Amino acid sequence: MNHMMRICSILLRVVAVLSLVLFLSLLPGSSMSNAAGAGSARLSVTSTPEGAEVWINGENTGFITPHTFDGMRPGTYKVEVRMRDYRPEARSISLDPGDDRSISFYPAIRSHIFILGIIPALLTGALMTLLLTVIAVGDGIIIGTLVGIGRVVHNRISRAICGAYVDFFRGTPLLVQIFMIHFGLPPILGRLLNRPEPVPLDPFFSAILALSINSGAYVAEIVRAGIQSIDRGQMEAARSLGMTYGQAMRLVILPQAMKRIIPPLGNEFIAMLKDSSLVSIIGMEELVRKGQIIVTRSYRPEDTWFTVGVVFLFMTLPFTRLVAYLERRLRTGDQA
Amino acid sequence: MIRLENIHKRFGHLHVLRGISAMVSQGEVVCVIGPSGSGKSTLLRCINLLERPSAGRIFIGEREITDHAVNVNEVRREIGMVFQHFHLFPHRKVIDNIAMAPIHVRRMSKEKAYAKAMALLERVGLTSKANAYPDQLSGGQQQRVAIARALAMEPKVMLFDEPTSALDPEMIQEVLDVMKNLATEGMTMIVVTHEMGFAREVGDRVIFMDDGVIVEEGSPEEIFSNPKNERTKSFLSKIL
Ligand SMILES: Nc1ncnc2c1ncn2[C@@H]1O[C@H](COP(=O)(O)OP(=O)(O)OP(=O)(O)O)[C@@H](O)[C@H]1O
Ligand SMILES: [Mg+2]
Repeated sequence: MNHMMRICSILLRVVAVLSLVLFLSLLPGSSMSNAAGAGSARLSVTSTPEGAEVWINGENTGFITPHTFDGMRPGTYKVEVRMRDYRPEARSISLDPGDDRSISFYPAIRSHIFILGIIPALLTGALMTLLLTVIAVGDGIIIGTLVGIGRVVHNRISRAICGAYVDFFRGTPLLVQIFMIHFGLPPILGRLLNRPEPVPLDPFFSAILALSINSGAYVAEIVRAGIQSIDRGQMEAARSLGMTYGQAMRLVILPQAMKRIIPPLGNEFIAMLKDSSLVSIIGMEELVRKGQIIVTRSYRPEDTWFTVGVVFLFMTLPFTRLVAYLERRLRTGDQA
Repeated sequence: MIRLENIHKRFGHLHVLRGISAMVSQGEVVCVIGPSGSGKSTLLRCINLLERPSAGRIFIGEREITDHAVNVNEVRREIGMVFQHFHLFPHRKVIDNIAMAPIHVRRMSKEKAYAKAMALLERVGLTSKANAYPDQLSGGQQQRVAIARALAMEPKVMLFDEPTSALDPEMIQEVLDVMKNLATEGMTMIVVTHEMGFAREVGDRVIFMDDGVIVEEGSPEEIFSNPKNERTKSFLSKIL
């Protein structure tokens, strides 16, 4: 009997120890670092940037990257790094006895932090966009007024030349016009100046030239339509008083045409704010080019391009509102 | 004062004036009547060179204005024109409408031009409207301002193209009264009008035009009471 009882107690003990071992091995990574000795494993956790909290199996270890955990029990662990302003990143790793493994994390910065970070660069780009647009539309107004008048005068040659200019620059893509000027002009200049090499153009110069000429064509149409919307009788009345054509234009026709010209001019400005983005292709660092640069550096196209879009929206929106307001005001002015 | 020699005007293949010859002497008031499309407006517009005659010559005084060497702007300073639809400058005040041409064309000083404009407004009875904008005025008032605007250039001749036909009936008389005063003061006037009362009272001579030619002309009495030509008779029977 005594014999039997001893066997039983041994069996019980074995079962107890086995179940304890089983239980401990199932228990999620509690006592791993203490359980040193042969058959344990090493795990080093690093992150770029450093200084992230290391969580294992959902518990904060209290250690900060980079850190090496010695004497890990073999098994599968879920390792996670957490850091302020960064998205948490987790991965599973299986450790065999005697392993010496390392695991590296590249946590991604959170979107709002990333966006705040790129805003200064985007704003300098936006400033360039605004500068290009203001200069281009400013030039466009000068060119467009001259060409627009050139299309309504009696002189046939003037009308033909101004008409061809408008047709050409409204009828071809702005992108092609930018290429014509930036890449097409240098060899021509080289030949004209008798240089062996093409004469390269500064991208800013090319950009301004292309956008101004393009804007001039659109403004010319706006000016022409504005002038032609004025009753012919106004010109005749002015001329019948002895005014020259120029005086009649300046004193009578253009001031009235202004009402019809200003709202579409605002639309032209908005269009140019957007279309000037095409000069990014010749390396002008305006808003879109800044976006491209940020994307290649950060691999964050989603945050970058949506932000670029929003910055454009914030630039165009005030002008869109202004044009709507002017249209309303000038329309009621007509009825009075 | 004004001499038209065989004036022709073509618009493409449309032959609108077919040989108009006429004389208007100093201080004379000539009324032109005729059916729509007969070329009355075109004739007036030829006289101040808003249209260039296709053929023929026009003399103002001794000067041939149809000569291509003549400066048209200079010619037009001497000829005032009043339009059916006034054509005031809507973006400028009444007083500016009147002073504008003297300042910019005659190079008159601003003080002088505005003083003159006020005097003209007084003449047409609208001093109170000096600082109004044209669209705040009735049609009759606008036409009186238009007359003042033309007079500001001190023209030798005034041309009127149906000055009252766009007006409501109750406003016609105020404009005709201004024109009558002008005639009394000795202004040389050519008036396209269908106001027979005005033509009888003020007109020295009436010209009946049809189809680009002068069909008949004579004193108002002759034309209205005793027309000789069949076309004149049928036209008058329609409008009287
Ligand atoms: N700029 C122009 N181009 C072409 N045709 C014209 C032009 N101006 C006038 N016409 C034509 O010339 C003809 C005479 O026109 P005009 O205005 O002189 O007639 P009117 O006698 O003044 O008529 P209404 O009493 O209707 O004013 C019309 O058939 C008109 O269509
Ligand atoms: Mg007419």
